Amino acid sequence: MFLLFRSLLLLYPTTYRAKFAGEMLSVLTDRRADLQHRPVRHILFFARESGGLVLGALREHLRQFRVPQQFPSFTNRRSFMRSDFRFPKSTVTLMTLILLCIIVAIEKAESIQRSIAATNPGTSVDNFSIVGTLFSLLLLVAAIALIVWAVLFAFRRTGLHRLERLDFSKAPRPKATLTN
Amino acid sequence: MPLHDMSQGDPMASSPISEPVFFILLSLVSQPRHGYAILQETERMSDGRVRLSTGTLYGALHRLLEDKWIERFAEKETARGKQSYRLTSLGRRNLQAEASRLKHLAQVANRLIRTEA
Repeated sequence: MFLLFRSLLLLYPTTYRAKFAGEMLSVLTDRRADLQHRPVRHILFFARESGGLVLGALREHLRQFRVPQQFPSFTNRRSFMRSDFRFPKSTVTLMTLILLCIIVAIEKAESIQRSIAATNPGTSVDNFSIVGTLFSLLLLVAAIALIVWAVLFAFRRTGLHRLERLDFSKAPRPKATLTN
Repeated sequence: MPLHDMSQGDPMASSPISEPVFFILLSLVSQPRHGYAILQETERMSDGRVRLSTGTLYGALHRLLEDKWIERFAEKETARGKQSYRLTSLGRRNLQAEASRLKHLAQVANRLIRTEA
């Protein structure tokens, strides 16, 4: 059970994990010690804690995308990319897991659709597939996100965002040269 | 006193805090506690209604730490050197403000219910 908890903790961002992982495992150990030898309690504990860890990891990753208040955001019609932003490896794992879940769900939905059509030959299954539409929508959103990210990345590479932070008042003035 | 927004730490912003966070802060009023003690106290105070998972607890603690409502320190007495949490003066002020807000809400609700009855 703790092997799974340890694995789920790997889904958290590195900085968060370095700060809290040991403590979280200690709390999980204490909580499990509280459980008596009742299988139902163990199952509930396992389900609640696993769910909490997965959702917690997702929440922490989403928080990383939040723009801090002291910098201008998109609402101010100015683009901003965090200078310390790194795409953590655990995010890739989490996103892959989510993608796998979506694919499995789509497969399941399609098999249900096929079984309905096979068992009830009279009923016609519409050609319109909600799964297909959702998948197309997902692809569209992903494409838009990619374009936005590419634009922001291009801005960052050009160093355009640094121009706003320049304070020309503190810059040394060129010495006036005496000319005849 | 306006309630500080947890997400931004902006003293001008005003937003109610969630029930679990309210209980977490309440559990730290009388004394500093470590994670497991916070969970136990939260459950005890809410009569078993609020049962936080470890992931949820540490998510909330992380946020509260970032907004300086609580602070973290290593306990010297325990062998394992557990990390404990205590309220800061900012956290105490905000908790007091939230309690006042809830009291006012309850007063208004009670008054209206009595009038309607």
